[in-house]
Amino acid sequence: MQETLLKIKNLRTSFRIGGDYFAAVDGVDLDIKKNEVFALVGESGCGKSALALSLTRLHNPNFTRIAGEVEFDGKNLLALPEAQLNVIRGRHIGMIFQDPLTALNPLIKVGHQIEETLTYHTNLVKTERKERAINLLAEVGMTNPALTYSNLPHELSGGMRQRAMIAIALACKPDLVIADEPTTALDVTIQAQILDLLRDLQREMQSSVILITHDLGVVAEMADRVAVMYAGQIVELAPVRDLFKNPLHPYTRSLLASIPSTDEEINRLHVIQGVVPELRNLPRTGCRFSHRIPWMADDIHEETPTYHEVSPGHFVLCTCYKKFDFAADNNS
Amino acid sequence: MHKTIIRRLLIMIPQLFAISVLMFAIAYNIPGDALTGLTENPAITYERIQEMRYELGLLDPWPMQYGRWISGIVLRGDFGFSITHSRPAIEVIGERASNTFQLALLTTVLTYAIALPLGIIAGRYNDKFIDRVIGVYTYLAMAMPTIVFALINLLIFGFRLQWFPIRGSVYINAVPGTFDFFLSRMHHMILPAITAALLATIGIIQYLRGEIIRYKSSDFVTTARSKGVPERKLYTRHIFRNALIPMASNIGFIIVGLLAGAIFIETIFSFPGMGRLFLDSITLRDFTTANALIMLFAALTAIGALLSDIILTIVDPRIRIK
Repeated sequence: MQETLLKIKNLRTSFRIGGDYFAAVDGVDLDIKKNEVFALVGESGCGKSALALSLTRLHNPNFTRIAGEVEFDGKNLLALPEAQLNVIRGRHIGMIFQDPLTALNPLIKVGHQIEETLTYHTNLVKTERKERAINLLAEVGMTNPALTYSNLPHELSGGMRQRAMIAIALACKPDLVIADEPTTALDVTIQAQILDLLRDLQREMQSSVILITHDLGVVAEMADRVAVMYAGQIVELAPVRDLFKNPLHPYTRSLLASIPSTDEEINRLHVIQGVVPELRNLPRTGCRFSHRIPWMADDIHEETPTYHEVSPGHFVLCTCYKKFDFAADNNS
Repeated sequence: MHKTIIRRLLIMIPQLFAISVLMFAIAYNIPGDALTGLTENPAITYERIQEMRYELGLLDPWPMQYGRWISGIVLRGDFGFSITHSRPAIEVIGERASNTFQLALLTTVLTYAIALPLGIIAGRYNDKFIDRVIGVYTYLAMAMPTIVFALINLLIFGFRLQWFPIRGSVYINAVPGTFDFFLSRMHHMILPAITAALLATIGIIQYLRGEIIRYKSSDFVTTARSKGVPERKLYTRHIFRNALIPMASNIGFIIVGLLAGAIFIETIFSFPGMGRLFLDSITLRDFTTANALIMLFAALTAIGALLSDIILTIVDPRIRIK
């Protein structure tokens, strides 16, 4: 078994809506191993990004509460003073965000935004930082890194901006890169390039990656292990091969069934009934997915769902996976 | 850039021309003229006044008068002769202009000196105690009519405490060019300038506060935070500069507003500036001076807009005038 890099224990992230707090991440336990690509999948609104931003406390504390533990390098990041956390942010944990246009400061040259990471984490002098920034831009595949260095974000294309974003995140060769839907805002051909780049750099730097996505194709291609998230909980956790070969949880199976296939001719695309419940109306007891498979009998779910290890490293929440059947749905 | 500035200046010519026609027509239709005051004088007969009006060309139809006036400006730079002051209008204005420019400059400096720190503090510590205190100030200032606030200040600091003179722009005996003259001028200007500045800050404070709060939760600030940038640097390097851009683009208009809009302040503090001159010119039906002032204000407004655009290109690298 590989060494654990980051250990998430009973993470609970709640947002204030009106006067009350509602948990968007509701009791998540995860271990991220060294040198692995860990994918987190799920529909929009199921808590993936909320989880990612919680790890280094990037949520606005005025309306967010984070409970639990995030253990990294022997420290609990959730209890660390801001100044010590800033040593880890950028140096040990790098972030890549979804929309590279809004994630870069519009008034600062791309090169200077890369240098900023170096300023706070290295002793390099100005000329060395510049040199390093230009090298990084070359590493992420910029054809003219010296020119890109002095460009402003709006002068670059979407794909180039995301490359610049990757250069920022990787400037200090972090141990962990958290990529929050890094390709969602890009078109398909650019997506593939960015993912290739990310994987190459991950292998080269021997860092771990938490890849957040709703694209199962990306997961199959990139990830070593996968966690499927629904309504703030991990419903299934498995090595990537197991998950695609033997998907168990009804939610995982529904997600996989929703991917259009070119092999067989289908008349209708499978869609999962209903939507992820709003944070305020989220059922907090029982199996949270039960109301989206209403044709199944209630007694297949556990009252208080627990994790079942079906094979080494493959966990499923709730017993409903045992009896779940698409065919029983009269509407499809 | 230079080409644009020249083009913008050239565009101003037809703009100012249109304003001049409109303004002249309106002024002509206001009852009374510079000689109306003479009708009160029993020593002068109505026939004599009409004679004078005929000699001065005041009885001609307005297009003719306008033609005379505009050709004077275009051909000789002559804005006409003020009958009320018995001097060319441009001379009367020139005397007051430097007073107003100095007052406007001081007011602008004070306005930003007060508004920028307060806006930044309110945005940085939003919903904290200090922000609420600043909030109370801005709401009071917003609800306060200029006249009332100016009168209160005049009463307290001018009459009661006697810290500041209550009228004029400089002591009569002061010799121009000396340091005493400068001090005396400042002493006269400080109360009207602070009064105007305290009221002019509200828009800037509220806007700046809103911008800072908005940028606080923007994506690029989250990115910076994820890089390990300390909180203080997030503000100085990422938030303030983005938040200040709209302020910079307003500065041209604010300066012009102060130049043209100091009427209340100048009247209450008996400060001999252009705002008061404008008001007096209207009440005395001295249209020559009033028209010349309006042309000046119009030109300043157009220049202010241009100034704002130029400043914007300096502070925002995304905008380039071509």
